[in-house]
Amino acid sequence: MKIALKYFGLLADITNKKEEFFLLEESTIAVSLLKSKVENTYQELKNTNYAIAVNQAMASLDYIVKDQDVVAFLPPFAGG
Amino acid sequence: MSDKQTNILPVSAPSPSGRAGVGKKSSFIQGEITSEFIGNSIAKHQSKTTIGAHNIFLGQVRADVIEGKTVAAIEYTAYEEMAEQSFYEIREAAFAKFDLTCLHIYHSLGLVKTGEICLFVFVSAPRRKVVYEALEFLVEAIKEKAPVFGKEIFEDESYTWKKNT
Repeated sequence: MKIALKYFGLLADITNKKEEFFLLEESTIAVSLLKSKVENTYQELKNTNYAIAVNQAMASLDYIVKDQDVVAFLPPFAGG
Repeated sequence: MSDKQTNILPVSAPSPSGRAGVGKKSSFIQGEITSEFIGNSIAKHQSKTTIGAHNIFLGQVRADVIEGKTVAAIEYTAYEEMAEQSFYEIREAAFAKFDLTCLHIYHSLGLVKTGEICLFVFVSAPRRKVVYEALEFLVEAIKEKAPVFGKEIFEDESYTWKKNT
């Protein structure tokens, strides 16, 4: 499956990109497992506090990501 | 699009005055929110004569001192599509909870210097008591739920990422 990953704020600094595509052999993947895969690529994320949104809605660790989903890595919000 | 998630789209249901087009127009403004913009927003409500009370929150960029360095500006970025959706849901929750005539949310994107306004929340209702509560509800919800990020830029051009406290 193919999913889009988006990084914001501090997380875009760490990954040095705002968006990328991930190709996975699995047909679905839990957010928790996807996190470990991405953290393996960008080690510094392991020590960083962030939340995940799938298709623009906040997602828990057991949420199942599917083909074509958009997964956003969001650092603490700082609006206002 | 996942079937487990709700993506509420604006529908053409009859809406009270001031709510037409909700969800379609952007809440984001490039750069500071000027006093002219705020003044014009107030003036636009003179024709809505069922309103008896307005309440306004203005967020201003503060010159925080962090580890000896002074903040000169904040550069705002956002996950814009998701933030617009958050603003829309926050607006709908406020209308469901409080007897409001209309409400408006504006947030800056890009560079806003210290002393300039970066958040403008405007609520109007027939009676005053509801506007105090509604405004606090809105501002707290925006800070908690809108995916907006702030890069605090110091006078020497180094930066740190802002966290809401």
